[in-house]
Amino acid sequence: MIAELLSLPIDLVRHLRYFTVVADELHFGRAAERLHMAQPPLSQRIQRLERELGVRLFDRSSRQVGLTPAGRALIGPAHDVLAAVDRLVAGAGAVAGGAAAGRLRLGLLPETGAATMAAVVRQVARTCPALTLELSGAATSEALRALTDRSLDVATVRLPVDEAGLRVGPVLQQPWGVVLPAGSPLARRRRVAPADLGDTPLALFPRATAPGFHDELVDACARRGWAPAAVHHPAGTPAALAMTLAGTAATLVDPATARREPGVTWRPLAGEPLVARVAVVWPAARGSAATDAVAAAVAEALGRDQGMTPAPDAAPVVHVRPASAVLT
Amino acid sequence: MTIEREIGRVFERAQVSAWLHVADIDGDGEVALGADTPVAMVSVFKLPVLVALHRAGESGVLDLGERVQVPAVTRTPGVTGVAALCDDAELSLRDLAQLMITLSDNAAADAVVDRLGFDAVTRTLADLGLRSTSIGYACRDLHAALAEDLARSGTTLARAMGDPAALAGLRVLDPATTNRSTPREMTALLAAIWRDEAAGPAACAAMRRVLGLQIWPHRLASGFPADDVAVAGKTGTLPPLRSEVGVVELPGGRRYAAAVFTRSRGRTLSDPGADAAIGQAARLAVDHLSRP
Repeated sequence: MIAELLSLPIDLVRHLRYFTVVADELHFGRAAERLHMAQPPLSQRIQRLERELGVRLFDRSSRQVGLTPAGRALIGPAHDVLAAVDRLVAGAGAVAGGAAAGRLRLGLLPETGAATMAAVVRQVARTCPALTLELSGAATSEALRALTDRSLDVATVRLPVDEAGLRVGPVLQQPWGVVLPAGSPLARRRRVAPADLGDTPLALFPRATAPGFHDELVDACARRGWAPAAVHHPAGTPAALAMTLAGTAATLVDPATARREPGVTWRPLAGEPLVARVAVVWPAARGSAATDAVAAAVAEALGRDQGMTPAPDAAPVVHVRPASAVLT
Repeated sequence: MTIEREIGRVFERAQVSAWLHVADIDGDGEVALGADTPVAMVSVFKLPVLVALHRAGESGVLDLGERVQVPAVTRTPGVTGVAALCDDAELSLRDLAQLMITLSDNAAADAVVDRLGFDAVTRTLADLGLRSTSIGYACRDLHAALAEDLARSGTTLARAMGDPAALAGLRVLDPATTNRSTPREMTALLAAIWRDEAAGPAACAAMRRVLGLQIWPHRLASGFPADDVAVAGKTGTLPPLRSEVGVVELPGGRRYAAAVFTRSRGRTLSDPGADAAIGQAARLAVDHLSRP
């Protein structure tokens, strides 16, 4: 019997689906509508199935459509075949997407930009087709709060953060540099020596949005010899760039952000590269195949679309001083 | 503001939890903050070992001049003293005890403990009425427990800093699973040494001398920068724990025993703020008690 079915010269699954819908509606017009097709081809397909199976499925003798005894006998097995096919397809999707299904609320840094966010959505759709993604923009502090109060499932944050209670997934990095008005003398150099910035004020995002990263940047400037006379905290990247364009402050951003703004030039700082790290994190107690899959998809999209690279998993440099050594 | 509030604010500014007892060695005055709470002693356990060793020497059970081999390959590692040397060493028991106290030398401490035995330490504690103090782990045992616990959670001490979950699994930080005492029992032990009650006068004088030679300036001593104030003591360090127990002698002869144990909340192994808070808190307490 199986051998005979497999040798049928028709798409059995598709024809069985037509059969079940017509049996459900007992009306060719409404069935055709449900199947988004015209009525004549539907009638032809049913006749074709009847020919291949060698039995009449529907009684079209009257103005009404009814199942024949053979049709009634075969509708159950037809449903069984289609249910098994659905399970097969769902199983394949689950294997491909790591069993990632259901709803997942993802927070991305607001400065990620619409194009990159779209790349994330596409990547998640590609790798986790069974997953419904709910996307929102959330700065680091806001994202950490949302993960705690369970209004987000996965988020990107700027490191360093307090990792207690979190699983830190992929960590990506990108160079950060200083933004200068395109015509400024410093913009002519390939790299800007931090000392050349003298005491030029620094414009950075509000500290509360990512305090760890904020302090790391300020510290990095100081360590490299740039001692800003003041650190301003305009809300939003455009405002920080505006201060740069107006010549009242210099700001630090990634090259992708600078490229979006005409009239400014992005230059890396000379010396040890200034590196910003972004991690995909989720609450340690709520990891699942879905969080793993989405984290990987986010990392891949950020890498492709924003040129971020995996951060080396380097152990932090720790010089233990005798006064802080174990057992002194 | 009460003195306890004032000291509490010092600890709060330094972002540490703390347990303190400061007592007048020759009177009844005291300042107490969680003074009877069990605390992990870390290297402070070397102080009762010193007392037990000198009692053993005094009673003739041990000859403190006995030479002890401390081979490079088998001794307990550390960052100071014999523990940090490159070659085999041989010192007298008395000198090993001195390095154990003045530098917190872990190899010297374990060499002393190996010769002395924990039973002698336990008897000393019982004789002096220190019922909340319990000592049964040498430095190598503490190292091993720490390494084992860190390996189990796949982390390092530096990475575990500031992570309550990671630190919760470390037995060496939990008074229930390591050498333990209370701030009040440590000031009682120090007062006994300074009053010649922990052993005979000669042994107590020897112990006072050794405690006065301790090198560390960043904790108790940092609170008393005056040249006419003497500070002697023994530190304890295993980040996030920092402590010192010691004696402050003021010009004019008034003497105070201080025991300060802290636990940092920060993310770094180094915490100079916590070190300094130990000195500041002891200073506030001593000033309070010595006010005419």
